[in-house]
Amino acid sequence: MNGSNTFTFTSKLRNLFLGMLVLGVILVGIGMAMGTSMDRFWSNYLHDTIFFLGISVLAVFFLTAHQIAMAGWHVTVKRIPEAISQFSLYGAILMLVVVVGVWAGYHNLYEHWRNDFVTEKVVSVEALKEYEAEHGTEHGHTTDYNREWQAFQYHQAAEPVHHDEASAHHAEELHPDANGNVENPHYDKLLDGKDSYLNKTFWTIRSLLYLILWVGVAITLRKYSLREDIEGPTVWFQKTRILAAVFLIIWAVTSSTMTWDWVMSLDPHWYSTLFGWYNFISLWIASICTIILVLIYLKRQGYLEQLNENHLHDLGKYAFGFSVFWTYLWFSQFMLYWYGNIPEENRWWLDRARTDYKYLFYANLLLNFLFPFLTLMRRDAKRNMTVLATVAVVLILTHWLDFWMMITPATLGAYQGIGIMEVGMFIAFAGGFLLVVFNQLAKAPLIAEKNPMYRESLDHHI
Amino acid sequence: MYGLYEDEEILIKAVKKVRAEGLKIHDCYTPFPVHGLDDAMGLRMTKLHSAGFIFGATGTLTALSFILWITTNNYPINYGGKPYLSLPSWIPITFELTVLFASVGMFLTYLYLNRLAPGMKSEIIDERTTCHMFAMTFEIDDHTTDAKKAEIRKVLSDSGAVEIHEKEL
Repeated sequence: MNGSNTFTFTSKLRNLFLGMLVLGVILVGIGMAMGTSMDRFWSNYLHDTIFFLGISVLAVFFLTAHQIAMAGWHVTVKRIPEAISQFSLYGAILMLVVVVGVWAGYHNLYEHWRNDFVTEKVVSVEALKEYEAEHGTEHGHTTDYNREWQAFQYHQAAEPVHHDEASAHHAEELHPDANGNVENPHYDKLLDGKDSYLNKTFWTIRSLLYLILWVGVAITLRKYSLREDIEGPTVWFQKTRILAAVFLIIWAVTSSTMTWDWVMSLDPHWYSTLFGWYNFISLWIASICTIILVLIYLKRQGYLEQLNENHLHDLGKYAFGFSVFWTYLWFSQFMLYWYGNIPEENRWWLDRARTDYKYLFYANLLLNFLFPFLTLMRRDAKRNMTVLATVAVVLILTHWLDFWMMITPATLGAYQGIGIMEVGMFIAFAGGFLLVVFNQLAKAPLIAEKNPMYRESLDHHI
Repeated sequence: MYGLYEDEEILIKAVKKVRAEGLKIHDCYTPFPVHGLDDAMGLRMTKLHSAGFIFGATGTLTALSFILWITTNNYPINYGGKPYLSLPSWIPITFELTVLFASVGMFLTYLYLNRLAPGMKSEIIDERTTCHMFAMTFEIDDHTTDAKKAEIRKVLSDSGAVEIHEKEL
């Protein structure tokens, strides 16, 4: 055992993470060389950015929620989420690439609503020609809901749409009025209704606001915590509490709007009021499991002597309890749409549960619910490092799958499987993420011994 | 036979000492829950939660099989064009019945294990253990030798007990 309170980031470990990063980039490169589409590349990029940025921001939520609740037990754990939260700066930079792309147009992720053209009822013939030259004459996003509804009702495969018949209005065949304007055949009533919220300018302002607020709080919290180590629990404890309260208010709003903007708007015709919570809990479990894994790694290396199985038990309870809560939200969201059976609402599930996505769709539910439910139910399991580490790895992967299941059918449409591109992108992001996290761990003492609740944390017993 | 202690810290130390000497403690009575006392006394974990799992699983199976029988066999009704066998619509009831069976079952099991029921007379070994004293008790009967009793008395007083009594319950 080495009882040191300072983590040494060995060059062996650093090389391992660097190797992961390089291997992931190479795999992505191979995927691109094998002819994977740019759309699939950007879909994966967005997916992993949201996932890892989410994990780091939820680490800030972990710190602030426990700070506000005066949960003394978390003091021995708290340096780990603090280190994880520092990835948010890098995650924000990665997300900025997506935000810029909405304007620069190098990706098609938000293509459905990005173009203002579809929210105009009347357009000039020139504008229509210009639009159709770029996007084709098809009504890109006017789905025949009735057809799909019937398919759902009678468990039949939907007949293919004949686009030639469905869109017989080329610009040439239209008869413009005196001002040279025509009725826009690509007009999208649903998107027009959402236009005051879901437009490029407001979307960009919101995205930047989230990133600035989150990263700002993450960095300031870390600064306060490190100052406390030097100066003792003077003003810093109270300052942290105030900042924590502010962050929780920010998070209460941005956790929902973030998922509407970045995930739900990939499929802008569909909407769910539970979506924010559902994503929040999915990321929360992934974040808790990341904390558990880093903690177990450090413990196995002989660090964190003060930390015992009681602290581990608490984190295990989170993983167990929130997995059940995740299932509750999954089912609540699903059942209302299933019961209502309104074509424009159940379409989202038809895209997933009645296509080739269906095996992974149900695997997602079973792995995220039954697996942690049955393995973590016993008290001993939550106090056993091997069991907990295994469950944590599975939960991180399955919540990654959960986001994949939300994003991919919306961005790519037909099922393309999980291939070298997906695996490579995940490994690359994980490598970079761990590099940042362990680098930050090495920068500060592993246990904040000057925290006023430190003694309470040592005596933690459940 | 029981010894009374004035502080929970002394009690926990005493429990460890007594067990180290190989004496069997019958039970400890404290005015409030004392953290670490269970471990010190070497009590095994309660099996109440295993019972809870079985009650819960019974509830799940009861709900599923009963609804299955009603909706597909006994009284099939067409709700909104859905198939008779529609698992999603059964889940809320199944969940409720699982919780109901588990909670009521565990509650009754708890009462049984602790010999609690309305109107039941409780045996209080010393009224002060409900207020400010901590008791450690030993079972003795007519066959217990005087040497054994003396040994217990000695261990109790050595470990900080302020009073030692014998009482028949």
